[in-house]
Amino acid sequence: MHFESPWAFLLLLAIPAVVYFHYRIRRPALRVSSLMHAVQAGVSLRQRFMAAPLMLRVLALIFLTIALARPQQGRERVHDVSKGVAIEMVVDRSGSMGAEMDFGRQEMNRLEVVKRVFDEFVTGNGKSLRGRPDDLIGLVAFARYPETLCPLTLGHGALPQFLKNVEVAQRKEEDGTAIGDAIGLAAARLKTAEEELARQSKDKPKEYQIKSKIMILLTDGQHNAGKRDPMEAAALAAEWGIKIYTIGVGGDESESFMQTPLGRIPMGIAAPLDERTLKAIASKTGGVYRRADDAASLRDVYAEIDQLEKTEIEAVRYLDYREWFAPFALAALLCLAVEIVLQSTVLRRFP
Amino acid sequence: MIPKELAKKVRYIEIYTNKAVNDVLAGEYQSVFKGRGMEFDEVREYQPGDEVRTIDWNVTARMGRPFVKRYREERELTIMFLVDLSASGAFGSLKMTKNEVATELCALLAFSAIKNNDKTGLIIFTDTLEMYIPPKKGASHVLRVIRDLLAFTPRQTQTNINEGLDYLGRVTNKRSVVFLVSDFIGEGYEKSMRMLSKRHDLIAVSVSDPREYRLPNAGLMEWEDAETGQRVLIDTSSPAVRKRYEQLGHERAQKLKDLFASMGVDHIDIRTDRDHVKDVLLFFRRRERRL
Repeated sequence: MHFESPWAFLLLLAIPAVVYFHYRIRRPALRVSSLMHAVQAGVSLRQRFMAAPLMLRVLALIFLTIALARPQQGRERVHDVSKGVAIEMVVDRSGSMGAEMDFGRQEMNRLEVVKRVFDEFVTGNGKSLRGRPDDLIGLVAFARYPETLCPLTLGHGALPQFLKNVEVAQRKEEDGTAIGDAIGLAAARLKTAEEELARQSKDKPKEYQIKSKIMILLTDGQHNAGKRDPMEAAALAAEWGIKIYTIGVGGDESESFMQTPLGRIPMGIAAPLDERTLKAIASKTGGVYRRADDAASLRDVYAEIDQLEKTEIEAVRYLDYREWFAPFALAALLCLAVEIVLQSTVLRRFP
Repeated sequence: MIPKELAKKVRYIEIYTNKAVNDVLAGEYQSVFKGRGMEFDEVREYQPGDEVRTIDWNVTARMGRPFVKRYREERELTIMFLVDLSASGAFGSLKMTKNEVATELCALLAFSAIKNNDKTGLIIFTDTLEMYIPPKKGASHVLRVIRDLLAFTPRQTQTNINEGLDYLGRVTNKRSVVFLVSDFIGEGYEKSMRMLSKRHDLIAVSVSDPREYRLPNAGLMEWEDAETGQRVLIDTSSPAVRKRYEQLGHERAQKLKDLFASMGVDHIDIRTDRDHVKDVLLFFRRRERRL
């Protein structure tokens, strides 16, 4: 907790003045001939509480001063980002991604596991993955056709929402695995993003700079759709300086399912994982190929990529604060209200 | 008070008290204030029934027969009003303040004094001497006394009864009837009063307001002492406080009464919620019975 405008505490100096004037101001009084009996007549219980309104008023002033000083609590650490890696996540959402996979002790479909681990990769899970707060992250999903779900962005808060929208392809006509097209789209995205930033940094040199561009391609099948050949696309990426990490998910025995209103219908063994192509893509662009059969191994793969694509943290500063004046202002209001109520009811004076 | 209003007030008091003097108090005054000072009247022969004490032995020896000396009561009296106009008197919970009641009472007695052709004087005091009007005869003088009493604005607020008593002791040697009108909210006046009561016919008139004896239930009240300006907060809705206040008030009244009795000083208890004519009448009757 810290105070944004500590000068407001100077107002506390006014409190002695308030107390002083409270006692000095001549309130109306009834002039009587003598006080000798009134003084001796004793003090009732209510009279003992006569100081309460003043105390409440002083309390209210203290609370108001604290509220004015703007107490704040740093909520979100924001790194001073001026350099980072552009990461384009390319996820396969073909029908075979609906197959079950271990996630801890639970069984979950592959796509779901991938989404969760990816989220951990971006925001960090406190253990092996430290998060990628400084990096531009984008999301491309593909089945028969690739599509950009989330453009490259630093605002990672929006990612979970985009991830939620990624679903296993349901219809036959959109099912497929267009690895080549996906790589092409992601590579184009990375390139335009870099160009855009380069143009901006010409005007303002302090702007964000892309240190390197990488793509994480995650698939469980074989290229079988689209116009572009994967190797062709990889060559294009290599030419643009994009590193591609490839992850193969699931075993050879992976089954694909189709979601129908009657339930999940097994669609037979799908095309097996094309490890050879994935390895080739990785080696061509300077990335690595890893295979993940369950959540733990997938996490390990991401941890490895995390390590390989390390970015040094420059400075951490707090940008976003939570303002805490409201409880103090409320307390002050409450004190004032109680004071007024007391003074106009139980502790009301006459005249 | 502006003069017109003042004249009206004086006129009102004159009429009101005249009525009381001629009606309710008719004759009472004279019978009560017989002059104590004796004036030699005559020497006449002793008759059976005459007091043996009164025999004038010189004349008896010369004449060979017993003679008694006759005295005449001095009918002409000097009435002095010692009025305390301190700020504590500016309090009244009913239509008149204590000072106003005191003024009216003085007027009443002063008009009674006209009937008897007595001299009337006035001393107004607070904690100093505020005003002195030497005793004089005549209705116009009495009216002046009343007007001055009504129009007077005291310079000081506090009470020192000794000031008035001592001043009277200095300015007059002649035995007079002294009405000491005050609320007796003050201290240390007992000794002077005792001394004065030996030389003069001292009558203590204590003025009080019912609120000095009883508190209304009016919640928390801020009170200011009219004399000292001191303030106090009193909870009039507390039964304990009200009871204690009432008890203290009555104790004080009783103490005053006892004090005056111990000095042998007559006492008229005037209250703002009572008709003071009746009080004066009662006092006259009481005194008459005693004489």
